Amino acid sequence: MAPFPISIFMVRDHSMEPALKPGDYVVANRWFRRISAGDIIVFKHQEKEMLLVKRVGSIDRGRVFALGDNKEASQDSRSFGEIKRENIIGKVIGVA
Amino acid sequence: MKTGIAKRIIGALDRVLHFEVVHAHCDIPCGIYDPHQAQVAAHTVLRMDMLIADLMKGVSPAADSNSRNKLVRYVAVKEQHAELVKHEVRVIWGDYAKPETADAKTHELVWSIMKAASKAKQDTDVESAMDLLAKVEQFAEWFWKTKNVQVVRAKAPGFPTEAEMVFPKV
Repeated sequence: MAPFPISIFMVRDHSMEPALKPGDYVVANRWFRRISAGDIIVFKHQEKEMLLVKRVGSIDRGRVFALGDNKEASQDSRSFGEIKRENIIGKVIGVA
Repeated sequence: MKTGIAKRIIGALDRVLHFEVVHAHCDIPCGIYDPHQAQVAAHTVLRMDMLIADLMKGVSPAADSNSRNKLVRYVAVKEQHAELVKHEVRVIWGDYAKPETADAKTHELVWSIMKAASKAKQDTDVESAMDLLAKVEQFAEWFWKTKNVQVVRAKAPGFPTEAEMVFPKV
């Protein structure tokens, strides 16, 4: 478990527009208990050293299918597959 | 919470604490790159110039609406495919190329492809299209070399341009 429950991240890129725009800040709860379809999550890319922010499309047996809101400009679970639970950093609880 | 005040406060904190970046990514390198599309588009530009040259032999476009119609269509397709060459090459250069694979010669080649594609739009000379095609084939050779894939140059099968194309030996 993360030592501190709340983290703030700065958003880059466009695939979560209009909900999140480049330069927005997201506040994430790292001690979240459960996530549901429609939640926005921060997670580690499976292969690259980068963090991503996407919206949960569906959950099946603990594996999350995440999509960008701006689907025409998004690389997401459609291209890199489902996200493992251990790769999820936090659930977004606020945007500024 | 999405207010200007909250953002200003967090922004001020960010300047001190340097929050991590999360990508709402639209350009995760998927690893799927291929210069083939650019090569085919360059052949199309050449073919359009060849068709235009044929059309203009002994024909007065002003006197023949069918010829004028054909000319407009050839030019439109040439324009689209020259732009497609630029797009495809830019994507490979911008997203795939890395400092260890692209040297000054590669950057020069990409720059020259952009210029050659523009020239191929501006005129209807077969030579301009041939120049563009030659540069795009050089780019394809560079691309496959970065992947340690051998290439072979051969006439593009069935293409009426009868011009060479670089193919990966797989």
